[in-house]
Amino acid sequence: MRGGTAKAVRGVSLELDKGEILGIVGESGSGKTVMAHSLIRLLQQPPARISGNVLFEQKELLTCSERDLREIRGNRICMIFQDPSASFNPYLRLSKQLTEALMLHRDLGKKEALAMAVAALAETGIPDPSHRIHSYPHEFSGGMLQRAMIAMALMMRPSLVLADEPTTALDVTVQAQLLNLMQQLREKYGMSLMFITHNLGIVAGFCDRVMVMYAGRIMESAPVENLFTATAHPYTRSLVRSVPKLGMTDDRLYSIPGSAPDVMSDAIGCPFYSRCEFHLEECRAAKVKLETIGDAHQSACIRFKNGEQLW
Amino acid sequence: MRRFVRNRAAVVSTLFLAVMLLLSLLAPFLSPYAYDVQDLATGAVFSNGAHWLGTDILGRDLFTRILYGGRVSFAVGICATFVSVVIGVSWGAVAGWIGGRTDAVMMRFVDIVYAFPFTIFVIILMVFFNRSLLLLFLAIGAVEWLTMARIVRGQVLALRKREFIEAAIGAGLSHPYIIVRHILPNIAGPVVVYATLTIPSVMLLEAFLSFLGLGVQPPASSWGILIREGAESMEAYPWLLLYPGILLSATLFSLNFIGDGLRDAVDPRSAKE
Repeated sequence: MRGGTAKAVRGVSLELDKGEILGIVGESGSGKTVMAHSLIRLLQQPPARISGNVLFEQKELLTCSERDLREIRGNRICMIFQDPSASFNPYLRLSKQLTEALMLHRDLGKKEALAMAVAALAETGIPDPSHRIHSYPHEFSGGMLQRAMIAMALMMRPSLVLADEPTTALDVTVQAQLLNLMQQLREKYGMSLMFITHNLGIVAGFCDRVMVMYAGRIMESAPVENLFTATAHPYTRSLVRSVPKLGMTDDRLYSIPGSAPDVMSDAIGCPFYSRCEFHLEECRAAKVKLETIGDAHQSACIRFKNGEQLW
Repeated sequence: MRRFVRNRAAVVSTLFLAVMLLLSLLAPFLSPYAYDVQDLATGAVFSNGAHWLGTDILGRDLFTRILYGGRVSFAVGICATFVSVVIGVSWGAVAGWIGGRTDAVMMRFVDIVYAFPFTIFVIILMVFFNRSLLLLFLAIGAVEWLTMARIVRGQVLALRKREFIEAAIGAGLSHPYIIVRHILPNIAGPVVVYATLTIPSVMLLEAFLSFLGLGVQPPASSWGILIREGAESMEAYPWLLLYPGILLSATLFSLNFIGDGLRDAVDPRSAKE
């Protein structure tokens, strides 16, 4: 039996402005979901341990009271979870689950809450919402549940939405529709959005700023344009290269050799060392710290921090 | 519901039970005799026009005593089960939800009480307090809740980690609200099933206690008392044991079949509907 601490998130520091859309990109296991969950103290501590500070609208979320936190959750900060079919209570109708938060945070009666929920479902493109809202979760497809979950989050008009791969299960037309909706809300209400995704395409077309995570650390942080045109980390470059492009003639798709480091390991140095084609001996023991290397552009790669141009 | 109806044994059992309950409830109206009216001159009689199931040694009508006995046995069965469900579910839900050390402490308590010999406990209670029906409910309920607590705690512990509970917490709902509105509907299945299986256990316990003389006191009757009295005069008047014995067994069987039927009908692993 192996024990030990899994350090899922190591030293992540970020800032999100009002009305900003921040993309968080990374492989599975990079710590993106754990990071998002920890922002609103959604991890059971113990066994989890969260350290640091989270400042939201002048409130320190990691140390504030449970009551204050509950005021914020599902109200000022809404989270959209990764797996829609697991995020609904299988024994309750959607009408019940969608109106709960409304009745709690907005002090609405059943009828008004139901009307609002139906309107929210319609906004996300669910057909015949006034009837379908009374169904059980298992009577919906995954894509529709995802839309319902997005509706649930957006209808509260929160200041911040933490979206964990919200459009992964959806086809591109629906995806476009929802991204559009989120854009509108940002323009209308100044809603900020932390968008976790694997999809670099969405990031390119939708986000203002991007952070690339690997092994629990941030490797690069930049405005979206710069991330693609002036990439400043070997990992980011590999990620971009991994995306199949129109017109490529290679027989094989590019994939990054090797695998992500063990989440339990305490090793120092750059976690991407073994898979990096630009690694140096000093990378093994180098401190993985984000430093500004350009205009609002930060990188954790020591070679870029030293001012080198690798490509 | 539909799947329950398909289970023949369960349906027959439900009907039987319904009939028994009805008879017990209507006992005063169904029999011209009171359960404690003695007719020493007649003594024990097998069966005749006046007494369908015969009489016991003291000339009391057996049919009447069975009906009234049913009242007591069902009352104890249902009430004690109710007590054990309330205590067990609360205990298990709190332990499973909070987890960690609280859970460990709460469940160790359950383990300790579980190891305690029940009979001695009840005897002590009965000696120090009055031998009342209420005390009987409480004593039995106080013991039966343990397994329910274990079952509920296990279920809640598993549910706690499910994503929809996380989503509910993420939506700002309070813990008590989540436990009542989200967790309880999910554990209702196993709880109901186990409750229907607890009733026969409780009835047997009551019969046992009455058999020992610790439960309901004569001249009141319960199925346990009837069985005791019947056992005493088994050789001479076998029907005094046979009728109550058969009825108790049939009731226990029925409850077990109903419990099985409910368990299969509610099982989420079968396709919904």
